[in-house]
Amino acid sequence: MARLKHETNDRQKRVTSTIGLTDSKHAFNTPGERWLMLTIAGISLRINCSDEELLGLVSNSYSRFLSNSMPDLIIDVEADESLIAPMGPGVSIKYEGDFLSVSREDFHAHMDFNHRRGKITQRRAVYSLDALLRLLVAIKLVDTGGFLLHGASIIKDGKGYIFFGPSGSGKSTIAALSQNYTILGDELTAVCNVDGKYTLYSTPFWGSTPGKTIKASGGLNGIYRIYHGLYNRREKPDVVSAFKTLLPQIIRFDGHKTLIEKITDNAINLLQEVEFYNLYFLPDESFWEVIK
Amino acid sequence: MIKLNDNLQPSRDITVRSIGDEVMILTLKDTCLYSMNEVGKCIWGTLSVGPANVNAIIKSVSSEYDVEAGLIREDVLDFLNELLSKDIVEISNK
Repeated sequence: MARLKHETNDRQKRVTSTIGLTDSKHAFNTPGERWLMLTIAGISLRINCSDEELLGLVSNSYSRFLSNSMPDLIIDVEADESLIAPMGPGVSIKYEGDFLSVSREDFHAHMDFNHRRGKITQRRAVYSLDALLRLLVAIKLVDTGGFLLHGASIIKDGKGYIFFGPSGSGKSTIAALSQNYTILGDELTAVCNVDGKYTLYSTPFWGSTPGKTIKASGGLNGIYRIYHGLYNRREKPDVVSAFKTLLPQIIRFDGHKTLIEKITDNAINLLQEVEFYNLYFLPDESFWEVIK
Repeated sequence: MIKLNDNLQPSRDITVRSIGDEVMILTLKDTCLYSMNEVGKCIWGTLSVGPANVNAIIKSVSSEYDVEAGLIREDVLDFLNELLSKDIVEISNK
């Protein structure tokens, strides 16, 4: 018995080493069953994948988000070399009731939220799984009273701020100008309502500021719709105007009534709790002077 | 095109929320957001409680605003046709 245990440990060590895990608690690799656990913005995902190379890529890419939590969702990942590289970032999404189908040239995936399980067949590349995980996190965040938003998020002096806007509004610029602070993300911001308090979480979903992924969170102190300006100033719009600018930047799923209604309510509730401003900023660090 | 004796009701593919005095309508198919002016809110107040007859809506607006009847009818029909074209209301003549 002692010998068998020793062999099992050796085998686990070899596999763990192969897929580059920093902590073997996060993965179990026995013949026929290889998986790891990720927790992103409080949402835990078990990734089952019998393809050792692909699981290794996933493990390395999401190394900061490996965990040993109980899974909220289980995803079976299957590699398919016949799938081609994506022509662009756009994905085809069908989300009705508890069923989500997502596809692109490089993958096709199906999720059953009622059974908390799904499957993705994909190229041996992390970006395919990443496209699915963004959607799953966006959907599950809604149940926490939050959402996934196109925005940079930064912690300064213990206070969390969101800077959001459409492509080209300056999210990556704001992140690049905030290197002295904790940058949670430069493209997508995860907002949760934890015990009545809005909290920002880092995600592995970054835009153009590579290599900065961390796992961190912080209380939300202010939310800013950003615009390039001739000088730094902020103004407080009425809550309706704020809602009209915020809603289009939330990751949502057109046609899914229940989800859109929840996102709408979550956004309205957040705007009643958190300070909202329009921020016109110069492309240097001085914009922080108007953020209090 | 809406007729005077049509009955209208809110579409099932919208959700409506109020923030303060503002009524906002969100279409679920394409997540477009609409808000209304005072007259629009007056009309929506009638529509939102169930099927409403177009003639009754026009009379309701006429009782609130001191404007020539033909003008009110024209404006209300324009507004209702716009709601119909955006799938915010549907005709319910049962």
